[in-house]
Amino acid sequence: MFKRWLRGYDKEEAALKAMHEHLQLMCMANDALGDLIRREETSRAETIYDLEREGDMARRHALSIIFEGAFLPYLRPSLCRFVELVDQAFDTLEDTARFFERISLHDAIADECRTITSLNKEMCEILRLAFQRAIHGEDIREQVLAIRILEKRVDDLKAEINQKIHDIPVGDFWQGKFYADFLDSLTTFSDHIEDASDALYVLTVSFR
Amino acid sequence: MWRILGGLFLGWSLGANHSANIFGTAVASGLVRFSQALWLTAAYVVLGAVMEGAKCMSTYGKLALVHADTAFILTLSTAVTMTMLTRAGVPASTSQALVGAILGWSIVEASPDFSQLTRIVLCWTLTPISASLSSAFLHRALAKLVVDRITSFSARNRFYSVAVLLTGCYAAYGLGANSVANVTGIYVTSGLLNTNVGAIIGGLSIALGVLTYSGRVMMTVGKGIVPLDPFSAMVVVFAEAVTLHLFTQIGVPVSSSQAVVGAIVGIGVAKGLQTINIRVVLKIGLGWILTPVCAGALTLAVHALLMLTGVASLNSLFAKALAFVSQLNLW
Repeated sequence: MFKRWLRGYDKEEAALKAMHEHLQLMCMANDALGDLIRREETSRAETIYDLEREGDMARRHALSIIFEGAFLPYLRPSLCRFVELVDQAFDTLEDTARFFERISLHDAIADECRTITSLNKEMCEILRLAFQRAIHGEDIREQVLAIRILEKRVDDLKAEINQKIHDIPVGDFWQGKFYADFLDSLTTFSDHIEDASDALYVLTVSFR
Repeated sequence: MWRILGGLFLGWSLGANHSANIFGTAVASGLVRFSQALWLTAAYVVLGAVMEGAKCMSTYGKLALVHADTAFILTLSTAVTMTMLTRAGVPASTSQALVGAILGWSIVEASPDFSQLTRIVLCWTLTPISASLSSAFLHRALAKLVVDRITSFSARNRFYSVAVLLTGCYAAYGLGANSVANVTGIYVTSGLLNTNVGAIIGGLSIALGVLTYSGRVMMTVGKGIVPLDPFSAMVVVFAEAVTLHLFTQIGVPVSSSQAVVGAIVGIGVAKGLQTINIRVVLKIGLGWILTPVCAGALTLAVHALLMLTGVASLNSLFAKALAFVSQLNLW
């Protein structure tokens, strides 16, 4: 029985490691997206797709360890919700890169888009830090608050883009659709990160 | 020896019902596997009964003089009362039902010792109070001394899973040590069984109830009670175990249900009084008053029935029944 307990301990550590890896891959992909949008380095798009595939593997690994019995059953739904929210953010990030490849960023909204990319990157790093603090039993209130403030700034920039977007000329329906989808996924990423940080906060409070 | 069937029935129903107080929340929330909970409860109930069960056995004998026939009627009436109250959804106490039955019987057959009754009733009142005080104290002390110091997520998770198992085993031990007197205590005082045999038979009958019929009750209690966080669930079981163990040392059988309810109220007090549902607490309190009254009334009814039919002893009742069956020429 003692052996089983020790094995169980490894299981939890492995699940946390996989979750951390998932988050780290998302942050790397976010950096690549920043290069793609700011410097228009098109080769970075492939990096993002590769990282997303790796992230999927890390997500599946984390979930399978949790379903195998890592952590108290009481905690499992909250942990899985956190992993799923991070994955949604990751998927949104990949979508942003795909749509960006199909459009050319108009000067009227380029600055706002680049600022959103920087804010997303910042939020991603804060979420990673919050996760590390949470698993060591530290308070993450400050990180959660910082993510909320940054998300509000993204929302404000989204409103500014929506005001300017009427003046951007669109060649055909598909070009317009890709443009709209790009802006939508670029601004939705921060919502997913905010949801993930809230889920992480609930997780730490319920496990105190 | 057939007279102990009443006690076995009572032990079986006690095991089926009260095991839910030990691993109910842990099983329902998936913390402990059902089979694991069953075998651990059964093993530790028998261990508790054998090791410390004798301490509470003489208490019922001090209430009134009980004969072997009477012991059968009393345990049967108690088991029937418990079954009826359980079906009515009232959280009932076996020890209260048994004391009610003994008093009901002794009022018409012998003079009860009310000085012992005062002591027992005082302990019934003290059970939920001491359980709530223990849980409130343990909640604060353990949080400060242990849980707050375990900062790592996975280490805290491991602590909870091990602590729930350990406190569950301790509570099962406490249940066996304290409740075996309800099952075979009056057989021991009536001279039908000796203390060790009474403890073993009583412990095994409780364990049989745990192993055969506790599943539904366990899930009902586990899912019916407001879901507690792992730490509070652990503290509730720990406080229940401490309370049962404490009352075992002074030789008074008390109710594990009362201890659990008291412990949950204690958690409510520790977290803030507004979390306690007074209506539910009052309903449970009413059940605690109803239990001995119902058991006493049922025993009086059985006594009246025996008087009306002119049966002098249970042996003559069985002789009459056998004669009647043989006249039917069934074979």
